[in-house]
Amino acid sequence: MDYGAPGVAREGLGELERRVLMAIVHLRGQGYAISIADEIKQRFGKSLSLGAIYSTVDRLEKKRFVSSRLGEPTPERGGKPKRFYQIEALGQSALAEAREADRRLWAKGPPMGAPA
Amino acid sequence: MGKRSANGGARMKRVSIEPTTPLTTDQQTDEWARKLHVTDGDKYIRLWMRDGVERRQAVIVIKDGINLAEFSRKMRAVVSDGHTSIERIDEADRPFDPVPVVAQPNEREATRGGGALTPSIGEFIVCLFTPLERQGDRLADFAELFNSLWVPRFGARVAKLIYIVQALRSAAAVIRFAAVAAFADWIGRALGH
Repeated sequence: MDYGAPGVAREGLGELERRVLMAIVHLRGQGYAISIADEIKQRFGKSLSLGAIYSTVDRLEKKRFVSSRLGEPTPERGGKPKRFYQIEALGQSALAEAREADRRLWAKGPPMGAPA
Repeated sequence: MGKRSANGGARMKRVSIEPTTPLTTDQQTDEWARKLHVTDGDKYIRLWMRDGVERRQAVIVIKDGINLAEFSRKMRAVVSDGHTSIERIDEADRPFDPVPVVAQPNEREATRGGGALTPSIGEFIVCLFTPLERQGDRLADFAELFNSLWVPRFGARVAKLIYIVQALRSAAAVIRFAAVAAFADWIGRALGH
């Protein structure tokens, strides 16, 4: 697997990382911890704690799959800003690679035990 | 003075009512006044204020007869404290008629000097498992849920409990993820990758 950046270690995507990454993509740069959790619940029906989101985005940021920026402070947050996450080129490559791996897996018929 | 409540005046508690930013529309205030049977002759209004499952009494004293604007200001100050309904109790023969109150979170914050009413122990738990540079925005995430979801839905006291439980749940997730990552690193090193 080549993510196209020199000096970057090969890193795969875990299931949760993939879901968080997809939520970040769908939120188009407006995703922060709470909206990411909402998006995952809406799309995958899985309720995650904020701690799970934080751990995952930290790991994705460390792998340079996502980057973050601080937004404007809002009153309901006690005057503190939101930290918005956006996908980076490495993250897009990793997501495309994961999708391709899925496609290859299903192209030869459903995995054992999976519905046809 | 009005009629004495059947609920007993001995437990009556006066609360400090300070001017605050507007919480509700004039139309809502008029509706509260109507539902609470406020008239020109009233010298005080005694209330049950409910907050989730708990309730406490409050008194609005009206020195020179009722003035709707003044009533509105005092009511806003009283209900801004996270109460979900109010009920007038100084009319013993009046049937039970609670008035639902929905205060906006930012307005409630304003009554507390701009700070969210988040529980310190919950914030401590969040800080304990968060890197220093991320503590500000992560505390703010919890504050947002607290102010915009838990308090309006469950009241301030229950919301504080939910905050603490969610902080513990998040801390457990952080520990679990860190443990799994450390184990994966160890396996990777042990297998020579």
